[in-house]
Amino acid sequence: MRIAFAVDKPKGLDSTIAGRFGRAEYFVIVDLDENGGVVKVEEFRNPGAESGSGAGVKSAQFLVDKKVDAAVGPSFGPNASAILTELGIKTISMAPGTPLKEALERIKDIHT
Amino acid sequence: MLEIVIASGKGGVGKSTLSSTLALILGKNGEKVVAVDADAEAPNLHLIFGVKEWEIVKDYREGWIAKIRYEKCDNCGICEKECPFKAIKLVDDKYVINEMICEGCLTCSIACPQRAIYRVRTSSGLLRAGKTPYGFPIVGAKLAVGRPNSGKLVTEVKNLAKEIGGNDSYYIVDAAAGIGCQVVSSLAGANGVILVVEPTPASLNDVARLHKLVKHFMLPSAIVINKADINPDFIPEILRFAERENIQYLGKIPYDDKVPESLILMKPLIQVFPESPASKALIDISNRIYQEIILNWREWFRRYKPAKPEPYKPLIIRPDNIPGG
Repeated sequence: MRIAFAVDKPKGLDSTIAGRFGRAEYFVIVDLDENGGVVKVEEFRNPGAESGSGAGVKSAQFLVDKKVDAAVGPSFGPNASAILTELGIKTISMAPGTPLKEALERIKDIHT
Repeated sequence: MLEIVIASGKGGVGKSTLSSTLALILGKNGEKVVAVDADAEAPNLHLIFGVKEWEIVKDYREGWIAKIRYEKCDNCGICEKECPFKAIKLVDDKYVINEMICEGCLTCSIACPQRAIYRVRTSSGLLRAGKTPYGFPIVGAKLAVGRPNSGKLVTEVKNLAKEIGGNDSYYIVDAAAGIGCQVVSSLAGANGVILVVEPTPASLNDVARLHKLVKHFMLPSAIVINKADINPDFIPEILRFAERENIQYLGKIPYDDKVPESLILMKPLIQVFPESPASKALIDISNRIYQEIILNWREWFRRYKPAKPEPYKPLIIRPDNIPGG
């Protein structure tokens, strides 16, 4: 499973969930094996953060291109949630400031 | 720190009047507060506070625009042919880019054999911050006329407000009318919403559309009925909407000629006409927001959080079935 986290600062697994999804500065994408073990951690600048309008569309498109299975953010705007839902990418809401390690634990509890 | 958004969907229903009163009431209670004007198209919160000077004014650059280096240009005309927006024309033997039409896509620059075209950022408006005469700061923006509406600009306004107010301030965000990009940005990252409605079908319709957006962000809301006596028969309809959507009803404000009078004086209503009927209602409602929402936020959030997010409904457009067509 490949999960994208919307974060303010890219600090790998020490990042925390951003205050918003479409204009989060970075995405941290984590690959998990069947047992929920971390296989790979990548960081990307979110192209949505820079755009004047359509931030939700751009960030969702970016995650679609990165072939993620789920996206974690504080909440999802109308355009981002429409695109992600339509393409079968799970959207998971977690409070801003949640540490990634804690978020991962909670996702494992729900999905494995 | 809490970020409370005042929004209405429809314009002219009293967002700025309520926002300014709420900021003043928080200030009078000794709280740190920042008034945030999130309407960059028609900013006017500063006019209510009588703010005439800004301490910080920053150029806001967002879009791109193509420029021609005429010393390299040999007038071949390829740029005019290739421009998908037809923004380039030959004027007096010189190719000129119409900056009102240019989208900054750079097709002309790629096509130009002389490599004579480059692009620069266009100025889209201003970010600005200052102090109100009532002791607390105000932050806002002003979009250049004709520049596209920008959610990023609203985000920059909120970021500047947080630089100024820090982690221990309350942020009162006066949203723009509508439910577009600017309003999406006003809601994203906020903690709660105060909906302002007047008792007319147009206003309720717009507030209901706005509330769908609010539910996307899973934010709790409360509602205030302004100019309540212009059409009291319609109020039950609004109350039914509030109950159905689990929105807290905070009270109503009567129509009051003192409101436009205070706007002409460029002073908040509750400062110049504290005894007027609208003032009394606004003070009551602001006190309720302070006590029941701001000081009691965790409990309020739990109680009025939407039960589930606004469901995603795919919009399928077929030639024989055009929605609304």
